[in-house]
Amino acid sequence: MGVDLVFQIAAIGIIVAVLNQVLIRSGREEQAMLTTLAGLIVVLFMIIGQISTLFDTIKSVFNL
Amino acid sequence: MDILQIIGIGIIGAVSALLLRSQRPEIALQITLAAGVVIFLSIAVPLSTTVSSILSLAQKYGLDTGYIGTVIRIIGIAYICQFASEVCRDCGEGAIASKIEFAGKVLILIYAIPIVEALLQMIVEILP
Repeated sequence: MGVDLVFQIAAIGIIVAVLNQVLIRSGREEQAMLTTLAGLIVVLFMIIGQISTLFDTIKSVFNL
Repeated sequence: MDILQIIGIGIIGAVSALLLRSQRPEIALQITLAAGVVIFLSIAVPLSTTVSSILSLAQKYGLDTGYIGTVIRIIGIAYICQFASEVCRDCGEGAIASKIEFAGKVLILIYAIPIVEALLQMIVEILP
């Protein structure tokens, strides 16, 4: 929670970007596409957990 | 969490989103989303204490808590609709953002109608 979540997502993004470039340079475009997809899915799972807690908090604070 | 940590998270989120915007714009968006969520979650506890203190204040002085509850609910809807429409605008989806804002306005109107009705009734009673 907190800053480390932002750092984790940034780290995943940088790793996926570098991997993507490496794979594209070595001629494997489709695997580059797959790594991008994988990175995105991992980040989405982390974010969706945080967003569900956000919505629950908002529901409890504003008793929507 | 004091304000300096929140500012730190915001700046770090903005910088890392900028870093990734050229290569992977979709993950850059996730970073801005994560920063927004983290900032709100860190401010949620003091926010809930202020809301409950407002409600207890209203009860203590005999104000009708129904209307204040509605006002707080309207603030909640306004906040979450603004959060979602800003995220959509970050993605470049202005159309979806305006749809969300429109839906938010309609919902706020629905909550506001009983208050307006009570106000009109009061005015009618006051007039001779």
